[in-house]
Amino acid sequence: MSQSTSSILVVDDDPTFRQGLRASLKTSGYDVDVARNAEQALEYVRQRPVDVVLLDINMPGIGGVEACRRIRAAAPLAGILMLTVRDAEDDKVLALEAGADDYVTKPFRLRELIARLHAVLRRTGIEGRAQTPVLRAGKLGQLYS
Amino acid sequence: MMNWIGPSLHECVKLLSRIPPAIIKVNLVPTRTLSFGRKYSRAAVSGLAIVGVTFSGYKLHLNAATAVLLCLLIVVWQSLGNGFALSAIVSLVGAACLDFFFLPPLLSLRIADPFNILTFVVFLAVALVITHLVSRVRAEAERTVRRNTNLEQLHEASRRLLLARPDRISAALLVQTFGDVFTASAVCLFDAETAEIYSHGTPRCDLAERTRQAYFHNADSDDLVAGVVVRCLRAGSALRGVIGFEGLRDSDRIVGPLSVLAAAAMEQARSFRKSSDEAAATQAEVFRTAILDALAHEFKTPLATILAVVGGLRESERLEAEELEMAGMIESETARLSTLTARLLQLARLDSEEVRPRIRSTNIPALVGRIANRYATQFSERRISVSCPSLCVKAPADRELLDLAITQLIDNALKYSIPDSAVTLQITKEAESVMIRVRNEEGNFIAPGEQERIFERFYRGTDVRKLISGAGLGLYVARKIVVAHGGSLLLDKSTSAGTVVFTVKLPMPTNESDHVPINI
Repeated sequence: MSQSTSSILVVDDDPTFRQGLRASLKTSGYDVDVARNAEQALEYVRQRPVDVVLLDINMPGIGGVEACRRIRAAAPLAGILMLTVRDAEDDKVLALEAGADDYVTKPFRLRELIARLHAVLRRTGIEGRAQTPVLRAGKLGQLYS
Repeated sequence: MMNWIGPSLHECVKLLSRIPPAIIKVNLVPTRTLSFGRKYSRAAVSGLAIVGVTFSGYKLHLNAATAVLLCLLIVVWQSLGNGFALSAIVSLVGAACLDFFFLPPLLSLRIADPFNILTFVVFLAVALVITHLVSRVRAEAERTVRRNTNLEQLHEASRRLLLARPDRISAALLVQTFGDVFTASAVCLFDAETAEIYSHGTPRCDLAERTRQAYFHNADSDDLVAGVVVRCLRAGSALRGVIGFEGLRDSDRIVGPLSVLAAAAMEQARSFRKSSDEAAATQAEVFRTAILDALAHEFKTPLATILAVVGGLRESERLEAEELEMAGMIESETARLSTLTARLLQLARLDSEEVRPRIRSTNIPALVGRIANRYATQFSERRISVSCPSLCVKAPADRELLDLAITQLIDNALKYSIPDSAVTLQITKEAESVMIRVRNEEGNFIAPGEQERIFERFYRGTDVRKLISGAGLGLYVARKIVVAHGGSLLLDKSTSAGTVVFTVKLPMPTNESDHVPINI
């Protein structure tokens, strides 16, 4: 599968949701890890590369919007997709301004989430990189990689 | 001839005025109101004392002036305890005794010397003037004491009412306080708010009925014979109640301030109840919002988990066809539950907040068609149809909010009609408006008395409230949305055959055909 190389980090304080989504995304071929709060997520992205972070907003400690800002600073190439119950326009604007690539409100169908994941991966270029072999030729190759 | 060597009238008055006020006060306090018998006893004692003093003076050859002063002293003492009439009689007795024992010819009531006649007249005049003055002072003192007593009683009643907790002040407490503090055989209060009578004491003259009648006639009444006074209690021009007293002492002076005090206390209690109700409503609103926010999170997250997991099952490609179908059913029903939850939360939010539509040019038939399709898919057994003369009727509207309002009307049409009946959505252009009519057949008849009330918050029709579940928010919020668009939502028709038509009227400017940059 094309997305088998994409790594996803699910950040949510609800353990059932975290594990359920991890299992479903794994079934769909993603490499999924979970974090139960923003602090764990920040530590994770500082230690290893991640393609997309699925980030909740309502979390104890550092909130989702602030976490988004810090993750964006720590891992500029990672896609960030907010997954939250908050559907107010202000919340969406705040999150997108903090660096999120997309915003999905709970509850959602898995199909929709996967479609949006693809879109984020496309926009960040990660999906293309995974699918297309890179021809490296000196500085030109470095430039395109 | 005997010359008058006693003090002049002016000096007598001056002498009296030198008596310390404390003594006057002590002596004049009418706390010991003399009974009929005691009054005459005092007068008789005074008369006898004068006879005794003058006789003794005669025997002891006392100076006439001394005898006059002693007589005046007895007259003053008598005046302190009795009214002017008895005191005047005692004064006459004194004048007669002085004449008899001291004015020649002695032991006779005749007066030989014209100068002694003058002396006699002067004594009598002085005695009567003193009697009159003392009676006036005494009456004034009595009035002062009554006034002080009234003031003390009013102060005591005010103090008790002020010390009472505002939530405890009631008509019952008022009559209890007035009955305890003031001297009255009975007190009745008619409370206009509850239309109830509160009584204290034992009325003998049908005080309760008189109080009630005074309220209905909106007029005070006094019955001096029965000793009943009734006063209306007003706050501004509003009649809050009526208070009646039977056997109230000094009623002419006290009833006015008492009724003012009662009206003020009732108004204060009413204001407190009102502000408490408002505070409670505000508090309830805060709790409601907090609960809704919590529900929003608590409901949505498990639903999201179910949807994610069942979606994962379907994606796994390991399910048999039947299992796949079952997973599909779980997914679609969970999605439906999610939609219902989202709509309920949206309704609750719109109920408590001001509706601020984000106006965009909206193709009304397309919007209504989408909603109808949604319902046609969900309720395949229902006949839902849309009729529209033109496929493009644009109006300025917030699509999401208008969707919610129309959805609510269709929901009601489906909910309150028999399962296989038809629901029709009709869109028409009329003058500068777009009309959206939602019509159902074979539904519940809405009685004329309820046709406007069904738009009230939390109101549910009497026929349906026990049969069909609901919160009574849908039509209220739908109308709120439409009104925020500058339009109206009305119940057009409800027949006994069950045809019910709701009409949404949205303003449509004449230049709306292409774009609508209107902000409401």
